[in-house]
Amino acid sequence: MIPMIDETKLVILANPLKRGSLVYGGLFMEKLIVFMMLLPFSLILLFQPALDRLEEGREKVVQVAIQRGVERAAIDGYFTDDIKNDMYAVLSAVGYQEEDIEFKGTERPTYRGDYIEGTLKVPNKYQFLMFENLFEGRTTDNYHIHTATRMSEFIN
Amino acid sequence: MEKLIMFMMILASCLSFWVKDVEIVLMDRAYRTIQYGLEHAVHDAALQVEIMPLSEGFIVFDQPKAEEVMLESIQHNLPVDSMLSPSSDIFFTEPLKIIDIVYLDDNFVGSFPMTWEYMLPNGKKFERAIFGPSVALIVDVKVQGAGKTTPFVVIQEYKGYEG
Repeated sequence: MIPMIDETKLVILANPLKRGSLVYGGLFMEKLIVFMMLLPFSLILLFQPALDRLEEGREKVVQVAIQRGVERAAIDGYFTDDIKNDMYAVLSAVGYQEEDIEFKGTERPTYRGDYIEGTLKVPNKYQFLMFENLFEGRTTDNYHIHTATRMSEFIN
Repeated sequence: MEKLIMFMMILASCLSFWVKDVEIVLMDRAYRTIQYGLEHAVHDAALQVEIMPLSEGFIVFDQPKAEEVMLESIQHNLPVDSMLSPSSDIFFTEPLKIIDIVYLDDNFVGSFPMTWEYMLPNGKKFERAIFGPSVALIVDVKVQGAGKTTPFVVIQEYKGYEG
């Protein structure tokens, strides 16, 4: 007996567009949903470590800037404009504008034996950025804060 | 399903690596902060010199004053109280242990420049060229995440000194 061929099925199998809609239709939606569910994790795994590394590097630069600044300030007796501008120059090399930087420190001449203090505060924009955005839907303001205290060597 | 399980395993291992990474960053920051803090402390101690010998051109450190100032400066720069035990356990959980404070001044035997040698408590020998009167501070710290105590040696010199 000659097997009967259903012509409509043949057409569907030959046509890739219709094949997709018929055979893979349900599976495709399932895969899409799984993909969408896993997308936040994938994004975090791909990009967050690099962003963290960036902020870790910037944190080191901030610390070096304030420590070097306070060492120079100990000789001059206070944070002169020269020292402050040098600190801002170091920070601008890693992408901070001068208006981002908050500096608090000893600005009056301090004599030998008294403490000079300086604090640098700059925004920490990228650490935990994707966690907060993808899971909590909000961002908190984080900062890099470094403080250094050293005795003045300045003699009038 | 197998792919989902695979993904979850990758996720878990990445997260554990990530936690390890954060721990290492904190440890690195602790080492840096302690080093800077102790350097400031030893600098401040080196400023305490006795006036009378200084008027004759000798540098002799005022040791009680220097120790007092050193303690105060450490408290300014590191999260410790007056007994040197930590007030926050981000950087270290056990008190800082001051092993030795060495005053290499004009009362010290030897002339400058000299090679100063010190036997650290872990049995290693520390060697450094010294060009002038100096204060050296040796502190043992058990840094958070490091697993063992690390000896910190910090020195502040008066450079360009002829004596």
